[in-house]
Amino acid sequence: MGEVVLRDVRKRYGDFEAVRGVGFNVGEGECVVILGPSGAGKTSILKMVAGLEEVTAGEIYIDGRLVNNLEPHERDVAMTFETYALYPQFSVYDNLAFPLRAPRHKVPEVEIAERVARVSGMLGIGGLLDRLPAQLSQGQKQRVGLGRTLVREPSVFLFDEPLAHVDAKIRNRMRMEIKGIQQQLGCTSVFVTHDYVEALALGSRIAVLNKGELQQIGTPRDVFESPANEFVARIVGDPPFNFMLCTLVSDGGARTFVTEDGLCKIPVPMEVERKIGDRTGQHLKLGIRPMYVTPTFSAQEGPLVRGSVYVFERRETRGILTVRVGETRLTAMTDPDLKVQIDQAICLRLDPDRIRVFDPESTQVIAP
Amino acid sequence: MSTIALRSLWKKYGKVEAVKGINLQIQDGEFFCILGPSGCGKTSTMRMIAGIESITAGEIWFDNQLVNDLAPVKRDVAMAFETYALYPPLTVKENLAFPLEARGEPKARINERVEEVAKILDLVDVLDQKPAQISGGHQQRVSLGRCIIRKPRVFLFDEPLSHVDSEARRKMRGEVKRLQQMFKTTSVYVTHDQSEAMALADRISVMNLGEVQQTGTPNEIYHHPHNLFVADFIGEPPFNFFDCSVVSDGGQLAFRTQVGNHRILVPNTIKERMGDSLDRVLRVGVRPMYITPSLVEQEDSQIHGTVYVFEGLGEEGVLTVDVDGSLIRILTEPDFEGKPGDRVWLNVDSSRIQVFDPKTTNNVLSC
Amino acid sequence: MHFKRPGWGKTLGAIGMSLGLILVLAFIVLPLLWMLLMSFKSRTDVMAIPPKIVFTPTLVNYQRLFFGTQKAGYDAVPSDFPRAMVNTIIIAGGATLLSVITGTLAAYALARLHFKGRDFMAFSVLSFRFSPALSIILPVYAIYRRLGLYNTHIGLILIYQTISLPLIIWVVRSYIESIPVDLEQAALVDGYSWWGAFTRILLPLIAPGLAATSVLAFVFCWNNFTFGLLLGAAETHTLTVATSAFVSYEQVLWGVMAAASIVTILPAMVFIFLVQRWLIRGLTFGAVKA
Repeated sequence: MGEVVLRDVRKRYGDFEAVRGVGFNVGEGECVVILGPSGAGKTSILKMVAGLEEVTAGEIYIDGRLVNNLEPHERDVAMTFETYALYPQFSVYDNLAFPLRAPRHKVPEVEIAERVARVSGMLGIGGLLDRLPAQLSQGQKQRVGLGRTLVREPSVFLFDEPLAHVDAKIRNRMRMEIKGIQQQLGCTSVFVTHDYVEALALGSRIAVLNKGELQQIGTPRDVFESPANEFVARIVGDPPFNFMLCTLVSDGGARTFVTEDGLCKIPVPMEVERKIGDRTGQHLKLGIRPMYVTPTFSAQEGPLVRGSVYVFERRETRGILTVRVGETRLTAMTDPDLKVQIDQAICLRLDPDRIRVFDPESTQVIAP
Repeated sequence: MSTIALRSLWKKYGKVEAVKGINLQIQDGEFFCILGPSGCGKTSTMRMIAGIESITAGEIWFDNQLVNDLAPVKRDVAMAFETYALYPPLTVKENLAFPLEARGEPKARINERVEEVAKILDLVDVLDQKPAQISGGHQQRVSLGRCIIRKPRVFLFDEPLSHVDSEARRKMRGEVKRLQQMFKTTSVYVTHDQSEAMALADRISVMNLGEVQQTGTPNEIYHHPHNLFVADFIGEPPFNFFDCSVVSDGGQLAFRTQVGNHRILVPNTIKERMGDSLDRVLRVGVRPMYITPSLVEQEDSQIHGTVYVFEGLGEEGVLTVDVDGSLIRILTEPDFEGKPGDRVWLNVDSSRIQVFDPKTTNNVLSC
Repeated sequence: MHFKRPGWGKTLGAIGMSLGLILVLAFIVLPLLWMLLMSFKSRTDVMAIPPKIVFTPTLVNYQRLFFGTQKAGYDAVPSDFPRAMVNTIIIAGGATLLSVITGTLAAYALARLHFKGRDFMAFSVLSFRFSPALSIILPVYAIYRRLGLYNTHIGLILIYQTISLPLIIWVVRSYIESIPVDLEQAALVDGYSWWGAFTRILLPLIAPGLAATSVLAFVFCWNNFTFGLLLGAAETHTLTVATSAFVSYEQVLWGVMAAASIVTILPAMVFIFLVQRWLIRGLTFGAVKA
């Protein structure tokens, strides 16, 4: 098992800078998930670690060795591809055996048979060994692709959106199995995805990437509860983070946030008050996760926001209530059996301990 | 506005029976979903309702009118296709007006309706732009707008969100639901995504292999599935199943698992039915949200196993437990202290279990 | 739509189409058939008016073709047919082989590597197919004489590249583009060098199409007339040129020429027949880009 270190890595395609000075470490046995929308540069980073793309600037170390100029086959990494990249002319057995038959590995056929049997057993594809990739379902192809990385015992595992093209049910199951395998084998992994659920589930740390720049790197808890900026706040969570533009108003002693239409006044919570400093009169963005917003019909303690019901959708274990507040819409997670009518007047209570304040221009978090 | 009735509706493509004599009654103003995996016959059914697919046998009624031989244009239905099907050289305004112009409506009426719809769908700012110049979200709303501008009898949606990225899909779901509630137009929505159907529908019809498995409200289907197919298809993570036999445990009836000898108490409500099922092998299902895990041995806990994996997903957590080789999934709070390999005791909410006959696949409790 | 519409319109249309096809087929096949018959006719039968369909076949034309050089006088044949056969096999075969090797590698570069002027280069290569050979023949002749390439097998093999190489490069490039680059990347990560990935993964996948295209290139080379005529002499005459020699001032040896034509066409026809399925797939494959 190896360590991976990226230092100020940049990638340019012609005039376009896809990766801009990204640096992070992956400790031994750690799984770091690179999370970002398509075009963020995450696959470029993965391919640079694999050696399939050249590094424009910066350094990449695997196991302490500088690998910038090493060919992929000299780096001892294994990779799963978004498209699975199964060799169409080989059976599943030969696909799994292919890496072991490479001239530089020279594994004897007997051992190959053993390893293939073990890996196919682990992934439940033992019965498919004679089939060709064209005869497999998406889920099965995904497993074979995964199996091909497991037959070797490389220093680092690289995953390029392995669950992107699989149905929801199979995806959830496979994600759980991948986590199980990772925990069993303790392999150093770099996992790329655009799906925040995968990131939260699989990553010991998550590196959030946007337009080639690292936004935040931290544990799933950090990224979920304490996003460093608007982008990170939005990308993790469904329904996504709520944002409201407010003005900070000083009313004698206590300060309040007043919404744009002047209708709602939210007292500044204690934790926020400490960090926010002297910004009276400024426009600020308030943010809070839907799970910390509760609908209420009666006057209650705590920051309240008034609005009208836009729509209510039920999910399995909860309901999603969208409320129109002035020009914006806020979502709240509720009881799945909530009974509301569209356009009904309603109040939302915001958990004061969970309110975060962002600077509207820099989009960075100010408090808490 | 219209009710829709399908009576013994059949569709055959050569020898292949895509739809096998189904019966459905869709109420006026209802948001009705036809849900099922690919190949179940849902799209064929919808296309027959629209009139773009011929009917092999059976009848389709709109209110009191038999529409089997009516051309699609005469049925007064509006279809929202997967692709937005917006006309690129026309502005948003012209796109919206198009269906009305095609019907020869007077200019004044058209302008009025376009303004109305634009206001409802938040498109007032982009009326003079062309589809290529507006965002994906706007484009979807224009597509919806074209659907509703005609005030048709019926809306038909054929998997409109399946190729849309997740953020846009989430937004659109809300828009579709809100629109339907505002206009109360009878809507038939075809999808393979069970969470979508559960979120949007007033009633759902689950289909498999050309046949209707169950029709009911989301609640009914979720809590009282009629057979194993529906039970497994609806809900994610899906039902956890245990093959059990019914045993009498010192006066108490219990389900004893075939593997591992765990016990799930038979709740009072179904005691009588189970009484004469002693020694029968039954499949007992429990949803992930009705199992509570504990790392400390509980006296009344019914099943035990070891932690396989815990996934903390922000708003909730999914705990996978290895119970004698089978993996059971449980929904929990987002934090869980257990590590892989730890022993864990599970408490099942017996009032929420469903019991199936493994041979007939039917729900023993519904019959 | 699944409405059934039987009707006169459809049947008449079908008949019309069949008639049309028969006519076109006849237009193509009849001359070949006539030539075949002619090759088995004696000198008098060939010139008979009205043309004879029923006659006594004779092998004399074929005999003269293959053994004619050994005779003299009236029975002599103006060209060395067996030698022409050998020449054509060497030249067409050699040209195709050279094109396959260099063309495949060039196609790989044009498909997979990114460099400035790549698309321009690809198009230029294709454009060689458009320009007529005759437009460059004079300068090439002069260059060849200077370099001593005139009337040599190598010289002809080289000039034949303008026929086969663009075809191979263009089609093989499309083939390679249709195969996801992921496969080679997976092989690289799995532990193979570039060459290993190329030979073990890519080549087997394009092999059928490549084989079919090479056969087509071979046939084009085989059929070429101008280069053999203008850049070769008696020692390097190809079959096409040798066949044309049967037209001389004194006489046109119809029968022998017909026999020569049949022999010239035969290998090409056999090859194409064998690979026709792959050919259609290969050529249309290249036409549709993912």
